[in-house]
Amino acid sequence: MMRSEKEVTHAIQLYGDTVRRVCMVYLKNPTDTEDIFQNVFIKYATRSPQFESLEHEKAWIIRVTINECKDFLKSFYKRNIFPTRQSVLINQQTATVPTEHREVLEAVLALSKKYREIIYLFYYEEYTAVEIAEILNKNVNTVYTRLTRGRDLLKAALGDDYHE
Amino acid sequence: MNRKIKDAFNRVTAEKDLMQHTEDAVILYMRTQNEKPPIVKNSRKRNIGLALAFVFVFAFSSLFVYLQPVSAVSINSTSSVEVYFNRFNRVVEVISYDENGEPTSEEMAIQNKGFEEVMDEILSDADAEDVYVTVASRNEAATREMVANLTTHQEMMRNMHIYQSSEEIMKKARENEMSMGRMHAMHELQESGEEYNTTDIETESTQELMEAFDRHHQEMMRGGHMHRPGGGMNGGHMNRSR
Repeated sequence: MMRSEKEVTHAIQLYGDTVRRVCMVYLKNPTDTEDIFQNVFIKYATRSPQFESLEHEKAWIIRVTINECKDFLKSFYKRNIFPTRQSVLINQQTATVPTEHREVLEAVLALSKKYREIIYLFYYEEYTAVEIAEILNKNVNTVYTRLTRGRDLLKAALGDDYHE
Repeated sequence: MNRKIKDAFNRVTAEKDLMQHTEDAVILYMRTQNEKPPIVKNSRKRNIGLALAFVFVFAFSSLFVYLQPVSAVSINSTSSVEVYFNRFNRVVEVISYDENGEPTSEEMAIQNKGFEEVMDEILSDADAEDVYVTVASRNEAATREMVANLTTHQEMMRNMHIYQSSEEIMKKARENEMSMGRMHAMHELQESGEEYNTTDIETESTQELMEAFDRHHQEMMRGGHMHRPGGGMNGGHMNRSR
């Protein structure tokens, strides 16, 4: 059953920033996010289930955004973007972020996808390893391993700054 | 550090333009979906339904037409075989009868075969005994064609007699689950006069009945009579080689 326009407008206002951040973690290229935005909220309008809580709704939005990003990467990104351009894209993404936060953000985005998605979900969205495993459809132990490894890589990239 | 990562990501927000574009695009999509007349889907479904219905009707009609017998050949000797053909001259039904004209469960694998092939197959098995073949059809041309084909066999066999019956007899035989040749012979003998008692005819074996019928015809032929019940050529003894 299709949701009302009011519900959709509200969801865009409520979860727009979350979708934007997930897109940043996965896509890097800010120009690709518009399509993902539309697809996520069209799915929300047309196919979303009845949510038990706001947390449930947010988790659904994150999961759908991740899937949309992965589909996008499969279909377009891999064929069209060369790895050498990724550093340029990260700079584009973080250009609007104040300098004091840019270094951390760039360090997270410079991690390989398997680490940065877990770092983002764990540190920013504050999901537990079990919840992350569910969202990403991965084994919990895999999540723990990647979290530890991602944290180490982040430490190495940020040096002493990380321990503050 | 947790706070630093949080602070850093907090600075990432969706641009107002992006939010507005998304809202506009999603709402436009929703309205388009709502405006889409369900008739389009229904009409597609209806068309598919109609097409399927047409295909089914066509298939069933074709099957019905194909399975509808329009002509029959009754081959009588000690036992009898009744072969029914459709308008395409293909076998659609085969019924075997015992020496007393009762249906048997004996089956012949000749379904869908053509007239000539079936006749070759059945008549090649005929041995020294006399074979009485009765044909009937809904249309005259088909009957003539069948008789012409059987005449070829008759020329090679010295013991074959061909009779032509009518559509009415064919139907009556089917209704009574009786061999058409036997029904035709009974009908002819009953029509011929008082010397043939109905009960005697019905209790006689098919072979005896056919022999009696053949004798009756020979007498008729010798006497210059042309006994043709129904007014036409139906019931006439077409030919005889002995």
